[in-house]
Amino acid sequence: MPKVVVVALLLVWLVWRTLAGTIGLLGELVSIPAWIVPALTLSEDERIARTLEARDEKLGVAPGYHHALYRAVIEHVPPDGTLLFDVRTDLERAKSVIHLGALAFPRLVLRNRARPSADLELPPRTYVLTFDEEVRAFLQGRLRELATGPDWSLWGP
Amino acid sequence: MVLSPLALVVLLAVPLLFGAATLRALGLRFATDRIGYLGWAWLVGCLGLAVLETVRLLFELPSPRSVVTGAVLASGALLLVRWRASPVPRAGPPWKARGLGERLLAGALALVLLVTLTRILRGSLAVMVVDDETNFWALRAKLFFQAGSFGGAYAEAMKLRALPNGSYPFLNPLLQLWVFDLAGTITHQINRLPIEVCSFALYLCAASAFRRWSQPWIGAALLVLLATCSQSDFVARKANSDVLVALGALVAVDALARWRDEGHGGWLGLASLAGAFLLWLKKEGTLYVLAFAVAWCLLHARDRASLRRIVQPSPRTLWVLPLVVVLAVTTIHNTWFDAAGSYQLDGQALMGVLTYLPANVLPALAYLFGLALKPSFNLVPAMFLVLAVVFGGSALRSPVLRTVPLMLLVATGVCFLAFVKATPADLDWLLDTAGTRVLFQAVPLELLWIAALAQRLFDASEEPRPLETIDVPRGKGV
Repeated sequence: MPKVVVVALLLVWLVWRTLAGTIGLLGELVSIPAWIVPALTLSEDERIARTLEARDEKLGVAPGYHHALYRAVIEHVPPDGTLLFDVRTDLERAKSVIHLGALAFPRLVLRNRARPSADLELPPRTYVLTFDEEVRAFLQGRLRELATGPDWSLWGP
Repeated sequence: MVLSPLALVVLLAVPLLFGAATLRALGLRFATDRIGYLGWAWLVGCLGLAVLETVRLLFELPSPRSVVTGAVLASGALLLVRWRASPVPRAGPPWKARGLGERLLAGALALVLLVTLTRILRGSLAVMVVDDETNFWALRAKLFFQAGSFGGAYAEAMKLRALPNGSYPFLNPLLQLWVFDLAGTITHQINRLPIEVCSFALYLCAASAFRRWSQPWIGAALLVLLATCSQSDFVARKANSDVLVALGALVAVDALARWRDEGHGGWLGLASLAGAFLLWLKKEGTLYVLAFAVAWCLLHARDRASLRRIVQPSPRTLWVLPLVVVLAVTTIHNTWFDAAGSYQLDGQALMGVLTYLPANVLPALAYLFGLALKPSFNLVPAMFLVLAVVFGGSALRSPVLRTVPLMLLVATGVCFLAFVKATPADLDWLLDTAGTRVLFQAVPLELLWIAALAQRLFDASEEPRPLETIDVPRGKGV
């Protein structure tokens, strides 16, 4: 390829992408008023609530759904406890609860896919989060119901 | 506020001052390069901070007190070092305040840094709940903080294989641990900050490198391309290690090229520290270091004298030590904990490549070429490929920069093999998640090479741009 063609190609590319890029960068600055105040003033708890609200919106549940779950876990499961949550349901939001694991650290969050058997013995300091009526019935009398939501319940010793 | 204003100042000042002291010991000063200096100081400071945090974990020392004390003592010792490198360090090309090129570069840099700040602030509205930043990097930092050592909860998690990719190097988690130490608790958002600052460092170092090897107006254009490249926004507001890899690779190659060009030993020191930084990040970092070594050896295979000079022991051979130490730390850690992770180089990986290569090779190639041609990457990989094919490496004067195309070819080839060892069902997912990241890590190096080539193509003279000599009294740390 002749050198002059490559130089021309290089110049066209530089000018084209630099102009497009500069417009893109300036466009990013235009959105500042929409978020700058919360970005500078919100506490970490408020940022957590905001993040979980985005999750609510994504999964089409009522605002505050995931935050209520998070609060229930933080308030009822001790830091050295284990949270077992039941993922045998098809509910996408049940599976997404694992995301709360990062916020609930150092609590150990484990997924359970096994069907509970009659002779099941839960280890001490184990808590169960379920979306399933069958599991709920199974836990009655074995654990205490600590918190409930629209379609979930948290059980513990 | 999770961190008090004072803690926030300490968070940034300790690595920056530690880095500045190290650069001073190397003979590199603010006057050496007013643009790149802060970026280099941050990179070197992060490396030093990670060393101090490792010592703190090993000896179960209280932090942040022990880390701050260690940084102050180490900085003091470094400031006392009289490094005998070249007698007078040279600054970058003179800055013509009224020149159009300089004004364009200054404007582009200001715009890019401002946009980076807005990206970080906007990203701060979401806490870490998903993605690798949470599942690998922050989780390990949390375990370090909880254990306060390499034992306790950390050792337990490693034993249970509860930490995904436990064999990954851990500089990133150590930087997040620094934030937990200062906050006195585990945080979910502000611990991204040391990694986010690396985006600023990347743009400062890139602007400095582009200006060093090309005209300022070309540097301004390429800087905008880097900041608007796909993933630039994402990496600025996340705590993943990709921006660190991009930064480390750029600084290592740029500093090595400056050392070969100018002969000042400080550049070799900076290249060595950037190499150690790369090795301590993730496997792609190690891959870049190895790919550079392989490419260099291949290009100099016929030049026996040059190869002999490299392997012959000399005082500058000592600069291999930081790399060896970092490799040793990771190896000892992984052996001790019998750590495992994805992308292990073993028989199983080789079998995976052989089994799935026929089915995966075309879809993977098509995906990567498609990505390289996407406007979201500003067509940087495509343009780099075209120019490398047309001009090869020989068009450049610097032997280090001449190595870049082959280095990236080797690195991309190995990454490609890592992709195709996935089962065909997992290939799309792997390419979507890792393909763009791997491509992004190479963009700063591609742009640096394009900058140097453009200088040769656009500038009629074959000579490099003259450097400025700064007035530094002899014996004062140069």
